[in-house]
Amino acid sequence: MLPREVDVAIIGGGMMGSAVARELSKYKVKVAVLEKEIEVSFGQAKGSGAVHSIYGPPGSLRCKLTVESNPLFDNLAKKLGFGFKRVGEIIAALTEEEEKSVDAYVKFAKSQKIPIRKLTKDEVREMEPNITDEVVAASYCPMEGIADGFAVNIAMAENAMQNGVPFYFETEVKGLSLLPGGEDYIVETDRGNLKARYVVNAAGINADDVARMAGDDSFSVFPLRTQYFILDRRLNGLVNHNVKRARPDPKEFWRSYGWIQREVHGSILLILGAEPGERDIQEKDSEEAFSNTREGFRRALRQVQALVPSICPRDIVHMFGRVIAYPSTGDFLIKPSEKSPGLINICLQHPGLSSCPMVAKRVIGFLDELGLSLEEKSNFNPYRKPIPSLGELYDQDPRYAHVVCRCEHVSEGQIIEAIRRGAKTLDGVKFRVRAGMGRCHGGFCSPRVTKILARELNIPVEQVTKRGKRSNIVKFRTKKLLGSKS
Amino acid sequence: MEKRTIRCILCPLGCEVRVSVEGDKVVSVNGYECPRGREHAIREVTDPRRIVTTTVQVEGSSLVLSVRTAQPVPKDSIFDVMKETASVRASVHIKRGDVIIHNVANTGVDLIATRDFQTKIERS
Repeated sequence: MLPREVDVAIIGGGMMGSAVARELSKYKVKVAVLEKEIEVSFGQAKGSGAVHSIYGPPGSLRCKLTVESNPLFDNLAKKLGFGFKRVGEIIAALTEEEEKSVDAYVKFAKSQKIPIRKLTKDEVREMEPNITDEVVAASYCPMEGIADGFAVNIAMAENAMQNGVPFYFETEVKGLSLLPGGEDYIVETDRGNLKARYVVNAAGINADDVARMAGDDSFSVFPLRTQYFILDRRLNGLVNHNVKRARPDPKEFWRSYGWIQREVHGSILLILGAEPGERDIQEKDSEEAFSNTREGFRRALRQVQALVPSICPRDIVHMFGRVIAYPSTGDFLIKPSEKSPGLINICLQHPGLSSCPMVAKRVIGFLDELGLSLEEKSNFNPYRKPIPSLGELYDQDPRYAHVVCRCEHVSEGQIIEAIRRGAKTLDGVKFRVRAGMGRCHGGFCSPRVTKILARELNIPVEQVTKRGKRSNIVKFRTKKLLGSKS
Repeated sequence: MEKRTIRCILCPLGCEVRVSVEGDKVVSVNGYECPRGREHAIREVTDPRRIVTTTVQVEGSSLVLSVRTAQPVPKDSIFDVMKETASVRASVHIKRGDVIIHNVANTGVDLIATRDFQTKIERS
């Protein structure tokens, strides 16, 4: 049941919504997060998992918040119990022009006091034995990290909930307007209305639609597609760091359109971003937005083969596309609306995960300026315990030794804990404990996880979905269709 | 007069057998290469039958028992056979060949188990 009135309504339970919720949960403020999907993070773009040391043109808000957020991750990972590793980043140049980009990158990093150094050809080959012979120079920055975007999102949300911020799911905002008097908003959702003094628009790809509901048409969101290609697990260890290709134009030294990314769980991912001006998808919600293209596959392969020649097409075992929201204003947009007072719009682009801690702090800063009273809670608990691993709680609960997902070694105990913490769908379980993320991609464990969900949530198997809406796993019982009563 | 072409499935030749019928009487049959093919085509035109393979629920188990009609049943009766399989639950300790439903859907044919089935503790 929605509350009647809150101080702050956060629209969107994705990376930014959850980050802001967690920050606000430190204060005696009444908050509600409204998320239209069935679970936390389902509306998320799903990034590469990179916690960039640098991203964005120098001088931009994007660059500033990314650079400032990076050092915060060790502490955040410890408090919130998510996996995080500083694997370091190597930007490789294969031509003289590209070497100029590397130099520009090193120069900029040093100006920001970020540890970095230029490597010789021999040093690169030593640090990355699989890299091509053609490399002429490279930069190495040890600060670049990796994490799981879903895990971080879920961890922040759980901590926020722990500290008293409720999340409302399957709750879609349909209208947003100021009450006469101009002090409060009426937030209309498909589950009822609530009154809010301040509204934080963290609706991601739908941020412009939400802003327009309140009469603010100052920006639009352009959907850009990024394509991801996952390599088979036998290639784990192919690279020791995140490996990027230096840009041919030194003015763009900070950008990367495709790179080889290490995942915190060990697998290797090839990222292929959209090139500038490449608005290759029309509709945000279309099938093509979530698909890969043959051209994308070829391009990603060519890019990675230029860096690591030993990769072949057969090494790619899974792929998907994701839409990144790109604000029409160009840079990160985090500001109080000029047209609708009390509304704070957030419209970012890549990198979301890398910048979320400082984005959240910036939003709190604006709320403070707008007059929200921020009295600290004495009992704020910054710690959130991760879900135990396989076998960990075995002596208390033998289900922690009963393996359900054989590819990723996930036990029944872990799945039950994921459900206890809010997972209601196959994907909810998957993003929390990785059951279904291994080589067979759920081929073996999905029926078993489905049955466990039905049992734990006390619902018939026919009601279990992959990720809400009409994605039911079991549509019918055939005998029931034929008229069986049992 | 109706002319029907049946492709015979009894051997790899796959003869296209042409059968002419007047009402329900067979007037002529051409195109077969063997007597079995001739009979097959006539049967398909006058009295097409199939063996129905399906499953039934078992008392005390979430697993199903595979069953089939002991002989081919008229094609028209397939749905009725299926409906009837939904209305029964087999009980335990079944051996392959055991009759699960006598004279299923009034076809004159029994529905039999195609495997042994002991009720075990259900595994997840």
